[in-house]
Amino acid sequence: MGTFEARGSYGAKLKKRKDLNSGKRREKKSKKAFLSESSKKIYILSEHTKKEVVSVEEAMLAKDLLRFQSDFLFFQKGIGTFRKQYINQFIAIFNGKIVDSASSIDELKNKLQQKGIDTATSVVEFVSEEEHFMVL
Amino acid sequence: MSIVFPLFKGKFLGYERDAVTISVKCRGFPLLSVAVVDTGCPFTILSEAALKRTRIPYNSSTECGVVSLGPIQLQLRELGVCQLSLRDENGRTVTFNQKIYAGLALTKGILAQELPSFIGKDFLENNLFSIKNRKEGSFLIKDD
Repeated sequence: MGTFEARGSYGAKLKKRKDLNSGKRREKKSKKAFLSESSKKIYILSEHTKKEVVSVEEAMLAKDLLRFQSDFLFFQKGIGTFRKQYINQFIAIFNGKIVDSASSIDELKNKLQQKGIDTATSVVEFVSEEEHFMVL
Repeated sequence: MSIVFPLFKGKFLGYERDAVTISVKCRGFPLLSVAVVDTGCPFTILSEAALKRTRIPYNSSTECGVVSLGPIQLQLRELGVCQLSLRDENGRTVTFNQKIYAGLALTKGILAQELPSFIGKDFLENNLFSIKNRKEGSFLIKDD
């Protein structure tokens, strides 16, 4: 009986370990991020663990970097069209839209300030008449 | 373990080049910019056009000489050690401390306004970065 119990407890341990391993696999497959309001941290939620990943500031920065890159590529794709309307002007792009234009960065900065847009984190590009080539 | 940072192709000064989106915190002021990864450039430089968008006091910084970039004379000013953040392939930001220079064009004109920022060899070497070209694109890889 005692042997059976021992085997039983060993079997239970094995089953537990198997469950844990399959849990870890599941965790890898289905990670979900959520924001904890109380601690201002982003967590990855899984069935077995609650692992801290990044702070809110880092998550926001990552989002801003992605948005900035997408806005920059929007400018590069549309430069041909922008040349017709904004030639020799600076244009500001935010969230995939041209938000304003001006003949100097300082003027554009003032315009965007009034709209509550920060130029430091927005794409501001000069629309030149023609493309310039330079080998670095 | 290595950290992988995806680069993207952008058209800078007439040609397609590898670039990366960076966040810089300099003297307490933040800045987002796109920088060309240039292994031939010894310094990491923020362009004047990028700096003009911010409140970073670059005009009062120490002058460190004049360099030529094509037909343009560029005055370098030391901004000091700044925090430079990149987004890795998993969407997490990784921050590095890096000495950065402001590149102010002494030659005025339209071309000067189009000069991009540069991630130079100093940043790549200090942080043990290598550039890898794969079918799916180019990557900056940081090895420990």
